Amino acid sequence: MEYPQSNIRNFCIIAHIDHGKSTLADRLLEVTQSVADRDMEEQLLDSMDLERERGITIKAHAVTLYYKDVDGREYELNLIDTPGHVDFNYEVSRSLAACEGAVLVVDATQGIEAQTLANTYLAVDHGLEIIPVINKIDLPSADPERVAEEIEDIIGIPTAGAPRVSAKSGVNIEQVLRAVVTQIPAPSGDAGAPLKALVFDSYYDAYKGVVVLFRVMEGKIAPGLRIRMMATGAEYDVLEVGRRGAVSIEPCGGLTAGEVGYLAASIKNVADARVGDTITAAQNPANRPLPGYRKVNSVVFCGIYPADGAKYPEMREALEKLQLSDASLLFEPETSQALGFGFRCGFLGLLHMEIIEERLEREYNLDIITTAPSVVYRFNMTSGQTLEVDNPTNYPDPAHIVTAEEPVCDVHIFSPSEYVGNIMELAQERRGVFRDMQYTGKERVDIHYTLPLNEIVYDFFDALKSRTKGYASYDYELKGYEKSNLVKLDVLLNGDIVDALSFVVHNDKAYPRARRIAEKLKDNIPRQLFEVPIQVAVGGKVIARETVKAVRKDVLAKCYGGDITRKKKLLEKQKEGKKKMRQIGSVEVPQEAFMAVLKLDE
Amino acid sequence: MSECVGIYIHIPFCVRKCGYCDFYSVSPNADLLSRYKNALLREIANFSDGGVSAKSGVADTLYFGGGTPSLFGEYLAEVTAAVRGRFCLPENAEITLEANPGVNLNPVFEAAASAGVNRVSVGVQSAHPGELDFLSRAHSRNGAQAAVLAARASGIHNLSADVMLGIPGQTEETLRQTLDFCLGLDICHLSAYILKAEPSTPLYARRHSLPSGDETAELYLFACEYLECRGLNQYEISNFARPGSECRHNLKYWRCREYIGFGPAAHSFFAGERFNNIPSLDAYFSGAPRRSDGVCGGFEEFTVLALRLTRGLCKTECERRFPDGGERFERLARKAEPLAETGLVVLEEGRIALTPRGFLVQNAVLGRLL
Repeated sequence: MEYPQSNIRNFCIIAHIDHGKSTLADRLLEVTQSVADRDMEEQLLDSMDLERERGITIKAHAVTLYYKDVDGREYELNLIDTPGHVDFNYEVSRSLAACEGAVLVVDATQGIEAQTLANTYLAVDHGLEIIPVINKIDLPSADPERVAEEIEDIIGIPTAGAPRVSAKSGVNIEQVLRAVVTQIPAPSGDAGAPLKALVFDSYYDAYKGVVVLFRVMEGKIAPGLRIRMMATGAEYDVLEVGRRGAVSIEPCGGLTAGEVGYLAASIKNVADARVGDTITAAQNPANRPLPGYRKVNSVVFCGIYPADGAKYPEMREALEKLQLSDASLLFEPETSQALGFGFRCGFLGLLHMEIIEERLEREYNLDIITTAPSVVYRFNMTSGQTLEVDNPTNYPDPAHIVTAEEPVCDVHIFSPSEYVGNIMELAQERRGVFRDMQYTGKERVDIHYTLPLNEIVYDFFDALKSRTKGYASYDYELKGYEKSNLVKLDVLLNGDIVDALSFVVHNDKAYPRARRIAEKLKDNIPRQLFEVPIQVAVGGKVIARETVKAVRKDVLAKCYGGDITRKKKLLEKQKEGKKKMRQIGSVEVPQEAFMAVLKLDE
Repeated sequence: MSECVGIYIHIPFCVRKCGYCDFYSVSPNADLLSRYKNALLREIANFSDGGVSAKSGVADTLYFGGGTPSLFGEYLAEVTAAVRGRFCLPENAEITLEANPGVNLNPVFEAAASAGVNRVSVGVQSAHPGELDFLSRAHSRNGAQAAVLAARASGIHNLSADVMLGIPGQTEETLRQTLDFCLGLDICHLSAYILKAEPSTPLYARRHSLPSGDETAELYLFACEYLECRGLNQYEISNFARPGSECRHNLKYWRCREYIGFGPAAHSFFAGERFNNIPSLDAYFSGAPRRSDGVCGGFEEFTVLALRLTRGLCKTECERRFPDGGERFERLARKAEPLAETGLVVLEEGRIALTPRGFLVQNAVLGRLL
């Protein structure tokens, strides 16, 4: 059945992790009977194992629901589920641009968190109608009054009629749907105008090729139409158009302005249907694309190597497959003297990096070694050139550097006020510059700092969690580049530089970090047949050193009565252990040593 | 010579079990000893070489190990006779008996000598009362001395002493006293084993009281040097002898020569296979079959054992034993080069051997080479 624009609503849900976004989505699907009971499972929209386990949304999803209100009016509701994390800020902004409203879910026991606020502001910026929903009212520690007040104070939206629900036990879910249809405006857009559709996600399907999720802003789209991606200029013939139900897709004859759906057009690569691009018709195209498209850049880089060098081809294949659905993942082959063949990978942020690493390990069963994450540094050279360096290996000769710059971020940390001292201490340690602090509630604060990105990628979140008992949340936004006094630290084992362990730090941090790395390596490199000096150097100057003593005794003294089975077992064990070692020069280094230097705060 | 086998006979009895020992043994009684003797006679007489016999059927070494073989004095003659019945024991065969001091050993050695025993290994362990206490040994320094004298009195002159390295509280000084004590008894062979806490022993619970690896290493190097200076040359990781007094039986183990073990927990390497008897008297009495030790006889095994000896791994021998032996030897030699620079390995034309410092880390060295 076709719905007039007036009976269509496009909305998304904004929530902090664990505040109940996915559970509320599940309930909406149930109440609108979009899913048969037998097909219902938790976090239905989060189809990746990793999403379900970590309770996060990594990919955007869209689902069309049909809702009949008390007066018998029928609505087509398009729920666009967005990733909430700052790493995917751009994706979030495109999803928001496809909606007229947002349901803001806040946990009645917790209140507003950094992530929620950032995304809510983003939604307000896009002119979305915000519907606050207070969740988890059934919990004993719930304080909906306080949370409602917080929403009014901080975001400045009235909460008088805000639904108070329990997504978990299904209380007042209907109220949410009623608010969606009454408060969120219907989409507008001229169905007769040239086609303009916004791509807000795409993924790879083994049968259909790339499946593009889009919102039609103007005009209409139907199978057989020749379309053009306005950013890339690529053209395709549309093979299939439809809506996505909760459990199955529903192909249809076409979609018009205001509607949300998918298309398949034998597109081979997700990079050809980038998030934010505008789809138009090849004949009678739109004059101008929709605003807001940009190509996202990687901000965090690291080397990823197979623990077993022989798995290199498998790793390439795995990365290629991941890239099929994730155009923001960059990788190129890289060779390390220490680690052999691997890949230099670029990510949108730390979470993105972690997710890729975890998916490589879990979905592709690869044992990996990663190098310390790096950001993109800029060097203004004596030659007048500006170099951008994302790999410490390519660090230029210091003699030719005029100035160095590093990326800095605006960071907001939301926390109970009792941890302010700890947080400030941490921020100072991380070279933070204090901006301001605001009380967002009686006992909650928003602390605003400017922090270098390289301090954030370096284990910042773990440190924040441990110093606030897990109560603080943070959000960062890349602000630009600032001049910085940078140096490159090199680690030498037995006199040989281990390229995989090199990294760039601020000069003030060089000594303490060098000492810590040397200690960590000493703890993680087993004693060998000879003494192994560990040195950390800046340029040619050694600033920290430790020594792994030589092993003195490792022998089966008694090989008696002709029983050599024990000796054999020992040798087997030794060979097993050797497999887990990386030979660097004459030194055997276990995988753990590489990992340990990534976590110096422990 | 290379065609002769060695015979090992395990005597799995001990009056009391030492806290560090994980060899198989049980408490003896007269009935058990006699039943055991009968079972041994049966196993020896029935030993079948499956048609691929040691070529001449000659056994040039016989070794009574344990356990406490000196508890078995009254049956030594009968068992030795059984061996002679099944194998040819030449005049100059080396026949060794292990003996634990602390009891009157005169009658045992008398019986042993008349049975043909010509070598005795005495479990001295230490000449220091505190150290003997820690090891829960049943003898004193005087007991050890008496044992050696008794052996010599019964005409046995090829004498060896076992001592222990790395006993809690042991210092270079106390170790020197122990070595001097042994040297003073004019023995021609000495085994010095590093004390190790095996998981199945009472010592394991007290393993943290053992000296550190570094301390033990110092004691070991001291012993090697001290003995060398006094004419007892190291020929294996833990064994020292005056020239010509090396234990021919034990050398068979390290040179991958054939040997046949009788009794529970005894191991054999014969006709290209390694096998063992289950370490259980009950199983033994009921005639349980021998078990295979799995794949054996390869180059790695040969190397692992050869590198226990000071003479080490010889290229000519590798070539003789393995079709690609020469090549594999050269590959090892190349890998050993950096270790030679650090003084753990001696590399000579056609020979790879470990130094005393290398012996101390033999496992790690093998890990690198193989």
